[in-house]
Amino acid sequence: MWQTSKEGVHVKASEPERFARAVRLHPDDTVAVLIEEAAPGMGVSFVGEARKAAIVVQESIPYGHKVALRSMQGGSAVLKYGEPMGIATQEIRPGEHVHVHNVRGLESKERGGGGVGHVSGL
Amino acid sequence: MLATFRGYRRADGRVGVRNHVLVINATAEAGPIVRRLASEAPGAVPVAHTHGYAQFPEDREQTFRTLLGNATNPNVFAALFVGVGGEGDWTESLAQAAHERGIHATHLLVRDARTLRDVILQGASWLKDACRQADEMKRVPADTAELLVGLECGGSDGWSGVTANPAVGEASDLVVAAGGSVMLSETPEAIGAEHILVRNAATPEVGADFMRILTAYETRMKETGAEYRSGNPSPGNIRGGLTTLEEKSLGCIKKAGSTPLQEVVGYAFPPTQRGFVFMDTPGYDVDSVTGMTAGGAQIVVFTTGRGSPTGSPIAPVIKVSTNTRLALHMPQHIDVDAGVILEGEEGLPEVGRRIFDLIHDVAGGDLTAAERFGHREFNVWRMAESL
Repeated sequence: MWQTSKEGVHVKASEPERFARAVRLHPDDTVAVLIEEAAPGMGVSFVGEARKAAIVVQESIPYGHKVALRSMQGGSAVLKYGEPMGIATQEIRPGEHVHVHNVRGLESKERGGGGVGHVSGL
Repeated sequence: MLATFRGYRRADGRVGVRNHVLVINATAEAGPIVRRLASEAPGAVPVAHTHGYAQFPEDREQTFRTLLGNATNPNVFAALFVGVGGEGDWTESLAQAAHERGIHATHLLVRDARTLRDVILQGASWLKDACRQADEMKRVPADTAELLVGLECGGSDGWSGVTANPAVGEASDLVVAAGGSVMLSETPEAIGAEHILVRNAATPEVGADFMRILTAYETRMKETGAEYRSGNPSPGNIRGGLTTLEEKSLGCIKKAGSTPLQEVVGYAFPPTQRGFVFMDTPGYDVDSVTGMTAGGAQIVVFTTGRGSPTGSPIAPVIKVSTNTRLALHMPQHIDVDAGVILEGEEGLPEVGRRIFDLIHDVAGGDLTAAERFGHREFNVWRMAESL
């Protein structure tokens, strides 16, 4: 695992010693729900899965809240259950807390998928 | 993967998981008599509601349809309808309609008897006889394909969408794969995830049907001044970790699993298709469960995070807790603890499998917590006020 030091030099970080357990609802998800509080420097492991997430927790995240598993650009979808659950309002980096401060809900035009999203014959 | 149980085969071929003898009032005034009759005839199940004729026509029809649907649920062997009598009384019509559907049914009118004591004696005698006959009926082999499992969320918390609901979703997929059906309801809870259900609907028509009931529901809410979308998630939800309305409703519809939506039915109407179906009901648990049992659901699987003792007089309600703390706090109200997932002890597929197996154990006669404690809530959904 590599991390960038202040001088912009890539320094190899050590493997985290402690892992916060999280539930990942779908393999495509960009977030997982922590089942224990996560502190900076911890790794993330998934309940029921052998492999661990290749991320390092960047900040304190409360129990029951979400941690980012991947980078998300501002304006891109946050995936949970394999579906868009919201839109990132700023860049989100792996290991960061994902919640109301950096995610908004979908607008009606963003609920894509079917042309049948429109009211007919009401 | 087929799972079997032993159930009660009815005249129309459907299978019940219980063999109830019901005593049910046609209108509110006869409610107390229903309770009295049930106490005089041990084994009879009282179904007492508070509706009557003084409603708008659509509500009257809905009440009639819901009472009849519940009285003729596959779990019912016999039903005694109790009413007051007089012009426009529908007690006899209810009994007649139930009889036509193959249920042993009769009715009693307070106005026909000389005294209230006569009503009680007559009614208790009929009920005791019906209970005796019901006891003699034997269970026969049946399988998952005979089941319509109602799904319900009550007292949700931040874990509902992470543990209990996805676990129930795993069980739902197993039920549907075995030829059975699962019914999702609580229309307002789907607001925010409707595009998912529509996209995954079996046909565009089913998707359009769903949008019609959802839009109608949202319109009614707006007319009362409620702004559902902006008020959700609530501050409590947010503190618990829920970020958006979409996340909340995605977590809710997860109970139904991953198969396509096959049909959308109105409140208390039976589905005609197998698989995953949706019934238009309010979010209020009791009304919702009452509607689903009227539509023929023989079992209900109910997830809860904060605890809900809600049961049903018609169908066994299986309670699934989202977290272990609840299961420890209210053990008399919980049947399966999905909170084990939070302990890292089991995964969603394992808990889902356990729920699927329990559905069949309960179908075969094992009592749920709600049944052991006699929780039998019943209420018909009503749209307008009394006249």
